[in-house]
Amino acid sequence: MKSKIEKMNRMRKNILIGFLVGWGTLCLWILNPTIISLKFRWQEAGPFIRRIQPYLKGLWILGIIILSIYIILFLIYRIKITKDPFVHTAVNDERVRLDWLRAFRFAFYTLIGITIFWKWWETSLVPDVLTKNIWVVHGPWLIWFGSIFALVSSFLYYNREAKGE
Amino acid sequence: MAKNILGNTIKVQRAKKDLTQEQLAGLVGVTRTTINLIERRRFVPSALIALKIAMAFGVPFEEVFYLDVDKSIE
Repeated sequence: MKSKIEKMNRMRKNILIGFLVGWGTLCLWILNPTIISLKFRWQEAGPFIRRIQPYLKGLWILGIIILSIYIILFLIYRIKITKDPFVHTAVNDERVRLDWLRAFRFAFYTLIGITIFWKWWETSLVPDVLTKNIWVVHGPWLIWFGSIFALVSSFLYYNREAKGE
Repeated sequence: MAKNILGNTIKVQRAKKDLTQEQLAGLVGVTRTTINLIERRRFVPSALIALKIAMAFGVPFEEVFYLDVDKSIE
């Protein structure tokens, strides 16, 4: 029988993976004009966007559903873990806290990187912006989604188990 | 230059006591992954966790942990 520490640890990992998938889906939805306009300029993208609209709406709903499910699971996890202080301490041991710290540092660098890229993009293409001849980059959304995505994914990366040897 | 690393005999001690990584993790109060990473020298534990591991085996600290030299860095 699996110990409670192991069970809760696995539950947290699954919740974070689920959250990452939901967040990634929402990220795709919010950034879709940017992704689309990588191939099409805005003036030409109209019919194409109209054609894929139902799917984009689906992406939004899918993202919200996945996130809602995993937020509920996270609340259940929180209730379960706060009932047992020993398990709570064990699941958040010093290595896990270190991994979170490294993930936050990575997310911070990502945030800075995206911000620099966005500002460069915005300022270096002013003439194109004025003539609306540019693909749209959602700066604040890009920063927000990118940093959260980097945080959760890098934690999962640092928190992985060593294999082989 | 050779680098000092924290070596350990956790695997040997576990075999002596017939403990799995999961059981040891339960005794120490950390996750199994943490024990796995300490055992494989991928993570250096704090003095507190290291002492708890030694206590879980019921042996002196230096029987479980020792200073080793990583020759691959030379």
